Order: sequence, then C-alpha cells, then structure tokens
Amino acid sequence: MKPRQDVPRGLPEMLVLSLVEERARHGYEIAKFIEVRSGGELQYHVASLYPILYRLEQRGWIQGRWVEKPGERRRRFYRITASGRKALGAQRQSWKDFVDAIERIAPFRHA
Amino acid sequence: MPDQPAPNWNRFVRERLPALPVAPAREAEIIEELAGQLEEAYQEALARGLNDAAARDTAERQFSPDEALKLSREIAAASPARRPPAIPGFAGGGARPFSGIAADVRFALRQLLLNPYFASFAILLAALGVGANTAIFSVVNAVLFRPLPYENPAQLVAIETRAVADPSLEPWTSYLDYVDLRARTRSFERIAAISPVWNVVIRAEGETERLETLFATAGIFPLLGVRPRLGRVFTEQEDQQGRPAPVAVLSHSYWMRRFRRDPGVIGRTLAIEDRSITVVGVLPESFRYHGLTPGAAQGEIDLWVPLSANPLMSRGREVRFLKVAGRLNPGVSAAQAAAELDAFGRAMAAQYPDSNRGLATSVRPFVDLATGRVRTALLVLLGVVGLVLLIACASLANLLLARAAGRSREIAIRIAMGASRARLLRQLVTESMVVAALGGLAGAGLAHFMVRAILRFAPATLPRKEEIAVDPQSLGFLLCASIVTGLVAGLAPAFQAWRGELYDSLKDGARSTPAGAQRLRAALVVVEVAVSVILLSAAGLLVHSFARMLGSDPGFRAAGLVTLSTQNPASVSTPAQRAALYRALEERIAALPGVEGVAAVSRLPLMGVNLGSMIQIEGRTFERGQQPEVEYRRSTPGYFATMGIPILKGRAFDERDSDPRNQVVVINEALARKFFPAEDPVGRRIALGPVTNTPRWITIIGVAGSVRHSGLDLEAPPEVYQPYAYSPMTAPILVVRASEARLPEIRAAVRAVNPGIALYNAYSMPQLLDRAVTPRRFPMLLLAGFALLALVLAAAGLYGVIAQGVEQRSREIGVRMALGAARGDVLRMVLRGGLRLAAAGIAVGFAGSFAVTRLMSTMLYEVSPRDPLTFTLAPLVLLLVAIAASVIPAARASRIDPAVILRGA
Repeated sequence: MKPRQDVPRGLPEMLVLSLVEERARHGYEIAKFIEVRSGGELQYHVASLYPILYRLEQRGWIQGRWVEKPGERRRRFYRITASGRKALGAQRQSWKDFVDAIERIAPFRHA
Repeated sequence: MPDQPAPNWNRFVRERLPALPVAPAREAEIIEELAGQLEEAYQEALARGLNDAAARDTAERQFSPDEALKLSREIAAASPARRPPAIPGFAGGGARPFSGIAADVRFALRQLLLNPYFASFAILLAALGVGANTAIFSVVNAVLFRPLPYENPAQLVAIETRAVADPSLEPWTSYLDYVDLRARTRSFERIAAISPVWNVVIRAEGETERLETLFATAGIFPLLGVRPRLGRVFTEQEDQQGRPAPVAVLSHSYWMRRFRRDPGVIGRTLAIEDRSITVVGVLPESFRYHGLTPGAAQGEIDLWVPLSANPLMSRGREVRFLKVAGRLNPGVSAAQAAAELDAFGRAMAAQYPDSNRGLATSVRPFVDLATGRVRTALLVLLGVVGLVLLIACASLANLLLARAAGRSREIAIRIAMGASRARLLRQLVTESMVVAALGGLAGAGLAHFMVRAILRFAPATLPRKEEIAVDPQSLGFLLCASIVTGLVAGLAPAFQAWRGELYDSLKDGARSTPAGAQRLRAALVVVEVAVSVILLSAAGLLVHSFARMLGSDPGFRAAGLVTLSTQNPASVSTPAQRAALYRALEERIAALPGVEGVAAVSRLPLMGVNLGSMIQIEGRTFERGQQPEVEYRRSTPGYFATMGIPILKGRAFDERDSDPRNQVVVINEALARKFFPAEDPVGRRIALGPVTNTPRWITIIGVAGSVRHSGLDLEAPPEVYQPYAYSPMTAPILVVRASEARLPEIRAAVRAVNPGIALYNAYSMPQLLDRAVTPRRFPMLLLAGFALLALVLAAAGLYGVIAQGVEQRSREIGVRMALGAARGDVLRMVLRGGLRLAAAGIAVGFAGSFAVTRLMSTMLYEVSPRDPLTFTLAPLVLLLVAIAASVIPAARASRIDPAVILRGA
C-alpha cells in the first residue's frame, strides 16, 4: 500500500496540532500515530515531518521540551500552546466548512 | 556477517544534512532530535524481526539525501533570521553576495572533521608545499631580493679594474689609480676604497687575539650611509697619505665581546702590534660590510682603521690591493658611469702603459659583490621549490577530485534542486581554500623550523645570513602561496562541476567517476611525474657534481693533519728573530708525542686566501701586461713531506737553501705543464715580479704535485714555492701531522715558546676539506630533499589514480575474467595503464629537464648539464617507482573474483 502524495496544503499542520492537543508527544510518536490512525494512507518520514514541527514551533503554536528518562536517549516532547489551540480551532472550523461544502455538492454517502 | 558496530545516527545526520542557518547549538539540538528519531525507527525495525542491515536501511530511508536537503531548505525558510542562501549549493537570496561564505566555511570544516584521514592528508600536502616555499622564499628574499641595508643601495656600485686577457682574475685597484679615479671622473657622488688586512694582532688586558681588520678610506662610512652607534667614524684629516692618525672604529660585536658594551670605550687605546690606537667609534649592531671577496675575512670585520695606515699606500701603480666602491650621482645611470670609466681606463692605459696596459675599468652593481655568487643557486632553489608547490597542488587537486567523485550524487542532487553552477563552484573552491588555509597555518610552523635548519646547515659564507628569518614579508608570501594553492587545487573539481559532468553521473545512476574526471586526474598525475623527473634530474646533476668534487684529489693527504695559524708578537721584528722563533716552535712541537711532522707555510690550501705573483721565464719574452701570473707560497723545507705533497721531479728545499743571493724555487705540476710542456723544468730559471731589464733569476730545483688551493672544484693554477728562510714569515701557518686530539697540546707548546704569539684558525685538515665542500653540499641536499618529496608525491598520485581506476573497473574486470581473461592478462592491463601515464610524464619531464638544467651549468662541476648518467637514471627511477605504484592495484585487480563482482552488481 502506497501512502498518499497529494495531501492538501495546511493539512499536516492541523494533524500534528490535534495529535499534540491530546497530550505531549515526541516526533517519531507523532509520525507513527499519523501512519497508524490513517491506516497507512498518510505517512511521514522523519525528515519530512521535522520541518512541520519546526515551523509550528517557530510560530509559537507548539512548544518542544527535552525529556530525559534514565537509560534512554533524551527525547523532545511537543505540547500545544494557547495560541496553538486557538489556531487549531480556527483550522478545524475551516476544514469543517470545507468538508460540509463538498458534502453538499458531492455527498460522500447516500443517506 | 561480521558484527557491525551500532549505527551512529548523529554522525549519519550530520553527514547528510547541509549546514543550517541557525546557531550552532540549535543546529546540534536539531541533529540530536533527528538522530533520536532515526534510532527509534531502527530499534523498531529490529523489534519487528528485521536483520541489522535491513533495519539500518529502513531507518536510513526515513532520511534520504533529497529529504535532508529539502528539510534544510524549509528550516531556512522558516528561520527568523532568514539568511537567504544558507544552504551550500542552493540558489536563492543573493541580496548579499557573500552572506553564505560563513556557512560555506562551516560546511567545509565539518566535511573535513568528518573525514579526518582525507583532511590530514590534504592539509599535510598544502603545508609541505606552502611551508617549503615560504622557507626558501625567506632565505632568497633576505639574501637577494631585499635591498642591501645601506642608504639608497641601488646607487651603490663596485668600480673594478680587470685584466682584459683574463677577466676571471679577481679585480684589484692600485692606490694611485684610485686617486685618479676620484680626481678624473664625474659620474660619482663619492668614491671610497678598502683593503683587506691579513692579520692584525691585538693585545688588550694581556690577552692576545687576532682581529678581522679592514683598511678603509674615511669616505666608506658616508658612502654606505652608516652612522656610528657610539662616538664617530674617522675623518678625511685622519686618513691623509703618509700621516695616518692612530684611530679605529669597532664593530658592535667586538665592542660587546671585548668591552661588554661599555660606553666608556671611546677614547681608550688598544695595543695593535707595536702601535697603540685610539677607539673613536662603535658601529651599529645591524651593520655588516657586504663588499668583501669571499675568504678575505673569516667573519665579521671587527676593526676599521684608516687606509693611510696601510704601508702599500706608498707603492706604485703595479701594486693593486684595493677594492673600490662608489655612489652614482643622482640621474647618472650605471651605463653612463661605465662609459665614463671605460674612457678613463683607456686614458690611464695610454698615460701609464707600464702598469695599466691590458686593464679595463668598469662598474658592477654593489649588490653583486654581496650576493652575486649565490644568486644562481638561490634562484634555482626558489624555482625548484616552486615546482614542489606545483606537485603539491596537483596532488591536492587529485585528492579533491577523488572526493568530489565520491560526492557526485550529493552535488548532482544540489544541481537538480536548483543550485546554480556558480554557487556550487563557490562551495567547492571554499573547501579547497579552507584546506589551503589550514595547510598554510601548519606551513608557517614548518617554514619556521626549515629556516632554522637552513641557518644551522648553511655555509658560513652565505651572505646576509644574519638577516634571514620568517618575517612579515615571508608571512605575506605564505598567505599568497596558500591562496594560490587553494585556487589552483580547487580549480580541477570546480571545473568538473562547471562542465556538469557530475550531474551526468547522477543521470547514469552509476556510482563511478565520470570519464572526464578520470582524465583530469590522469593529466594531473602526468604533471606530477613530469615535474618529478625535472627535480630528480636537477638533483642528480648536483649529486653527481658533488661526488665528482669529493672524488677529486686535493693534492695532499688531509687525514691526520692539523693546522693552526699564528701571528708573531711585535717584539719579534727582525728576520733573524722570526727564524729563531719558528725554529723553537718547530722543535717544541716535533717533540710532542704523536707528532710525525711539523712545517709552516705562508698561505694554507682551502683557507680562501691566496697571493699571486707575475713571472718571467728565462729565454722567453712577455709583453708588459701580458705577463702570466702564478700563485706564490713560502714554506719551510718540511712542508711537502708533512702535507703529503709528492715531489715529482728534482728535490724539495732543505736547510742549504737559505741564501737569498742564490735563490731556488719549487714549481707545481700545473706550472711545469703550462710553461715547460716538452722539457724538464728542473735547472731552468724564472724570475718573480713584473718584467724588468735586470731580472733576478731563480733556479727551479723541483716539481711538486699540484694542490687545489682555492677549492676542490677549482683546477690548481700554476704555482711556485720558495723557502721561508729568504724572508721568514711574521704569520706562519703551522701544519702538523698529528691527530686532532693533539691540538690542545700543540697550542700549549706554542704558548710555552712565547705567550705573545696569537693563535687562531685551529682546524683539522679534513674539517677544512669539509668546509670547502659545504657551499656545494648545501644546495645539493636541499634540492635532493625536494626531489625526494616530489617523487613520493608523484608515486602516491600515481597509486591513487590507478587504484581508483581499478575499483571503478572492477565490474568490467570481473566480466572480462568471467569471459576467460587470465589473471596475468588483468595484471598486465592495469600495469599497462599505469605505465602509460608514467611514460607520458617521463617524456614531458625529460624534455623539460633539458631546458631547466641548462640554467644550472654554473652550479655543476665536471658534469655536463646533459650528463648521460643523470638523464638515464632519473627517468629510470621514475619508471621503477611507477611500476611499484601500479603493481599493488594491479595485483588486487587480478585477484578479483568474477562471481562476487557479478552477483554483487
């Protein structure tokens, strides 16, 4: 099964934001979650996910923090910030409007 | 499969990720975070049951080169600083053309850190090339290029009067000619003269020592523009002919050595021989007189006294004993002065035919006196070391090319992702510049040590030695050499990138070096081999000359011979006293244990000091001015036996030959061959001195073997020996057949006879011989060292290219072997490739060496610049080295297992 290449702009950011909204997660965990929850439909390599995290952190929507556990490599955990939550809300709304609009034109399933 | 070490993901990310436009600490964090994620991917793959290699592969696919580049670009775009072309090799930004340099340099440094072997070898290459050049430049600059340390040195000339018939004779001027020069020429602002003093004994505070002293006209100091450090120099009034003032000027070093910098030295009197003279001044520390003939003094001049104190002043025009120097009037060229002097010389010859016919007067830049005789050798050395730099550059370029080939994918991806060629070129040149800069830094240290070694081993006669140092000018040169090295060495890979060959290699999907790069590398190796042949030939000529010189017979048995120069005290003044003193010395020394013979001579071989005399031969007439000159020595009867100089015909002197009214002479073989080629000279008569109507004939009683008095590489000139008894010497040079260990006892014996005798120049004869060969040994050793270095570099270059060729052709070789090629065929094929390169280089180098070695003819001795031995051996050595360099990769190629290669493909 080949992962999708034609992901709409802005979508990956929203996915990452919503994943770290639940709780703080580290980079590889985020990539895994996206892969597993999308049933393999969406896949991010370490190298392609990282710029998204970097951008979000630069914008101040998420915040990374090194966490050390004995006997393990330290990992950088990201959690959502207040402005990130606001941005996520706006994005969810925008996506919801978008999906609703499409639904009205080309219904996904017949009721 | 062997156990592999755990993957180092930090290193992996660092290698794949171009420099990021963020603070280094932040960059390190990002790398750590990415590496951590790869580690997790790897561990997870292992946990899924994949083997190590597959797990590594899974993790590596999370971070492909393309993704890594994209990542760095996106981070650049998202970073607040927004330094535009932050990633090496990427187009974009461009507002500040050099804004990416720091990132380029950082990237280059990181590349070097990641490849320590490559880095240290590359830096070593640059350091060797740049360091050796800086060292030699420091020497050549101090000795040749820098103006002499006098006022307006370009205006200073030597005024020389030479024999037209034999211009190679050392030019000397008579006092009367000097007076006329001053009165009758207009080209010169000032003219001064000096005359070497052979021996001056000084007695201060009871100790007797010999000083290097120079008679000089008062004008010498203003001529050179030297001002005394203390007191004053002597004046024209103190230098009047016939009324010399008893004054002297001291050198700084003598003032330090003898008077411990006591400023109260001015006005003190020194006892010199039987007179006392007053110190009027001390010269500055930096002052050296560079106009002396080699051998006229053993070291720095200690004492300057007015020329009028020289007894030769009152002699006629035939007595030529002065060196004359002048300062050109402003606006007068050397050619104008030469024309005026030529006319002056003709006028003198017409006016005083007896003394001046056959002489011509001319000018020469004063700097020629100082450094003329070392000019060729130093320039050749500078050229040679320049060639070494060329080889180092070629090797470095080769190394960079090989690396660029290994990185061709990375470079191709950059081009594919929009890096401009110019941008890429900049990155590549930056890398070679960084290598050259680090090499230059190491080279500065190398140059420092090389210059110290050179100063230690350079001959004492190397002029301006005290000025040689790694100074700011040397460092400026070092900087230029480093930049040139970086540019030249970076050019090859950059050129490759520019032509886009590396891009093509991506399209092929092959991992091989593009054919063009291989060709370029081969060309560089050809250059290296060619230059090595040239250097090896040049070194070979010098080594051959040196061997010839060592093999030449000095004419006496040096082993087991010691020498000691003496100077009688002023109290021993009459000839009878001098003879008695010498007899006492001889008796005392001969009685010492281990002494087999004692003798004395007026001038020792190889000490650089000789004395000439004109001769007449009974029954032949010579025109005045055309009279032949011969070397003249006085010696004690035992001199020939003690020195081991064979008597070929007749006999040596003995005690009977002491009557000055019935003089005899021993001539050397060279004189016998020149003037009596077909007859027995014994019994014939000659006269010494200029032609007169009433010559005092002297009978030849014997012919002695010729001695190379002036140098092992100079043919012995015709020479006469007379018994010392006719005029006992005031400064006999003792030769004693005894081991060097006896020298202290010999000194003690001399002092016991008369403590007023000054002792100096104590040597063993082999030591003197050794000193005589130093001026040739020194450039030979340097050149041979450089040639060896070149050979090693060329061999390494050849090996590298062939080895890489084999690696790239391993598939082809495997196929050939699968199709039936024998191991021997493969071996021959690879060897042939290596030898083809070597042959091309040898051919070019062979032709080049003929052109280069012609410039060295003055440095050679009894060896032609086209010496067949050298020109056979040098290419042969290169050929053998080429075979050795090709054999290892060839053998490796022949061991290729076709099955492994084909399966692995």
